Amino acid sequence: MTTTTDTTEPTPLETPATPRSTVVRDVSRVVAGRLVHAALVIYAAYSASFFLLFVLPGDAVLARIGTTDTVGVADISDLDLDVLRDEVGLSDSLWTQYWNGIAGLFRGDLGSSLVNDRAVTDLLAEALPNTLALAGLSLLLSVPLGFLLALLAVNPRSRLVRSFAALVPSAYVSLPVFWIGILFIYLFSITLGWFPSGGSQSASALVLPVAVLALLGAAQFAQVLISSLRTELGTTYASVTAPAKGASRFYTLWHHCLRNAAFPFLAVFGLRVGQLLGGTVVIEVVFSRTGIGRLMVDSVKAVDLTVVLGLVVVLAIVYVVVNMLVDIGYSLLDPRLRRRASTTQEVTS
Amino acid sequence: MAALAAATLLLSACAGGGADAAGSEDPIQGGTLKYRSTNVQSADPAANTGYGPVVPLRGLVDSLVFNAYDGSFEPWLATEWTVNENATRYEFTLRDGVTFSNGEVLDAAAVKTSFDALRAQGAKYAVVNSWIGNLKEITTPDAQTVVFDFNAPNSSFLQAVSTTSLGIVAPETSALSFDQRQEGLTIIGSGAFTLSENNGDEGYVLTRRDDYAWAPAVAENQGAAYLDTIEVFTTPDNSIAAAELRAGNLDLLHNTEPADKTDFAASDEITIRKEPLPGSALGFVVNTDVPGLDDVEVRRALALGIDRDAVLERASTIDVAPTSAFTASNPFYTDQSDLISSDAKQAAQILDDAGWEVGSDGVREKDGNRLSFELIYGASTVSHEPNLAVVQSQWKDLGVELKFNSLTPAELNQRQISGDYALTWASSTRPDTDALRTNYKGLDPELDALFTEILAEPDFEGRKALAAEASELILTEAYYLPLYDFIQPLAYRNTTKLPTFEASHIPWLGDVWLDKA
Repeated sequence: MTTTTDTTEPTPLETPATPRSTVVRDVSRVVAGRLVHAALVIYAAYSASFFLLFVLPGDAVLARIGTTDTVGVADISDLDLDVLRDEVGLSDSLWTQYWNGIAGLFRGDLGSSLVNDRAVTDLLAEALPNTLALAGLSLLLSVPLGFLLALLAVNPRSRLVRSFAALVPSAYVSLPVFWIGILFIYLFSITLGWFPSGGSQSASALVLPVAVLALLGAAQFAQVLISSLRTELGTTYASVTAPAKGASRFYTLWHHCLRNAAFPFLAVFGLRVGQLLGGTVVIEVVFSRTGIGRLMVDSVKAVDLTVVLGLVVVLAIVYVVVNMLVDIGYSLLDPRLRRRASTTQEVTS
Repeated sequence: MAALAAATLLLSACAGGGADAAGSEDPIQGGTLKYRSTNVQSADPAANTGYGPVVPLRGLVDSLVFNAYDGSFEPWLATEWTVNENATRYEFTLRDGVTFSNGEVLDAAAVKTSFDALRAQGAKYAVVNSWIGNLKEITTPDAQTVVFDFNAPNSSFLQAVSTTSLGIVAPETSALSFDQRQEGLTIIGSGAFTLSENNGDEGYVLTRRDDYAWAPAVAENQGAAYLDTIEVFTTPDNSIAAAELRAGNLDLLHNTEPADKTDFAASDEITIRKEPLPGSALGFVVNTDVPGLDDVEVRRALALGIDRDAVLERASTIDVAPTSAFTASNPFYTDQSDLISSDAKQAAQILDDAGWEVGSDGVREKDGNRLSFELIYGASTVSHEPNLAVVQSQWKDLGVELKFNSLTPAELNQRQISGDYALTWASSTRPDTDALRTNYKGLDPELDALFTEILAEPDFEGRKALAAEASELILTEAYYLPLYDFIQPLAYRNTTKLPTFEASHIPWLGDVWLDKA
């Protein structure tokens, strides 16, 4: 991209005169490119979900009238639901509904739920803080925990301790989240009575779900860190140079290897954020918490198109932002990336 | 406070005739009842018609009449009422001095507004509007009189107005739109409790109203409720909820897995009610448009081909065999167990005689049609699947294939409306004859005529006789293939005292107290 525009510059004299403006131009171009990319991701996610949802059998109007537990088969057949469909816009053609949705998106209007008529933004505003608190706290705790576990699996002299510590994350990751959640409830809530088993009305209710998710994140991080730390420990600088200079194993790990090993960790970190937003579904249901995940499950079941699409937009935005942050993190961690960016610019200019 | 308690005790001693014998102990004032339901949609009574979410709403709104446990109707907000001879006109005289918790007066105008608000929202309140039926108009000749005029007879209307779903809300609530009623503390009733905290999907909190003085006549406690607060929780997982009840973190629970039901039935700390919820008995409702099921002989063979004892062995210990198309707890039930029998040999003989021959895949066929049927139901029926598998294997031996499938509400309703199913789950819960009409209407002209007759018959005994005829027809024509009377009622710790129940098996919450001194 930069090459083509830069080669059209007619005089070589101008180049050294405007290095700062070039940098600004490049940065703004990168930012603009990122924003267009973000908008495209959100648009694509919206459109794909919109058409996929239409494959679901039935519609929101059919979902909201209740089931035969309360109304009989015959009663359901007798209901005139078209008035309701007209009202919520479900009787418009697929394309009209689609364009209305896109137009609303541009206005920042996500519409209202087809099931309870409440504004989607209101529903999101209720659910999002809960999920963010849960996901954010667990993420915050899982990073130091992950590093700690990884160091435990690499640093100790005893091979037995190392192997055991390396086993723990793999074992935890392979257990289903809902099962761990239920186990935690039985142990810490019902048997010991330390924490409430669910809800989001008190801070103590956060402890168990955060613990389950933080441990899972820590285990995933540890797995990646362990393998990359082992690789780093095998390299010359760590296995020969550092010990030769008298550095202890821990010093080498802490000061030299971790930074290099953190690279794959960052990639997993980005994925983990995405996973957390999806993974809270199970946890929110098990711990009876209001949140994005539970809202998503309920809305998909009820074919509540507007709510699902609103959620998709929010999740897409989160993904885009997190990916951007991970990219920035890469260049912060690895000076070569920064240098490479500036050298390519030197070459082209 | 002590004087008030003494006064209420005195009153309850006079009025306690219709209630259970549980009132022999002295009720304890105060405490918080912790109730769990699988889910709540909102605190809007008209939007909640399932048993679980309705239980706590009984404290929030009062109804015109109280549907007593035996099915009779007792005065509540209405001191008296008259029904004309073909059930097209209901006239209620309202009790004097009743107020909503926001101070508004509960008079004829408020009652009319409460009903009009539901009708104006049409299909958004689909269930309650189907209960209201073909209403022509509501008139208020004076401040204490409300008259409902119908275009077509609706003898189920008294039962309908006794439900929480048609409980009376304040004009302030009636003025709101559907979505406004679904959030916050917008639901204002005249009940013994008021909504004090709304936690959305996670439940809500009800707080006692101290000036409450218009309990249903049959209630033991005629004054303000015993409990201070009722906390409503939602726990999607039934096993966790059961463990919470065992641990004492809950006082009252609805929805229990079969294993926990069996366990609770043997517990000396927990009571599980052993009466099925009143409505229609569980089993399959046939779609007579499906080839094979259009033949009464095939349907009879399918009913005979179910060995209920074997199914019940697999079910929880407290479920019982069905003895009518109604559950035994329905006020309109008559024992018709002689019409329900099992005989695999006879079933095979019937199918042989009708020309259904076993094909190469073990499934009987005739003229290109196979005896292969799909049963569809919603998520709440999933816990029955182990029992359905028993029927599946019994029918397999008979040369009949049974497939079963749990669907989302949207898909379930869509397939039922379009007739794209062979068998559906009979499970309507309503302590009324209407429990049958909603499932079996449109199958048989003779049956439809009976249903019309029932709707125009306001007399209890008259309705009961007609209901028995309808149930008999349904069983002999095998429109319904009976499985069992399923027990899915409340479970509670023995410290939770529930003296008064409605016909719907919902406890009246003003009477409820906790023996946790």
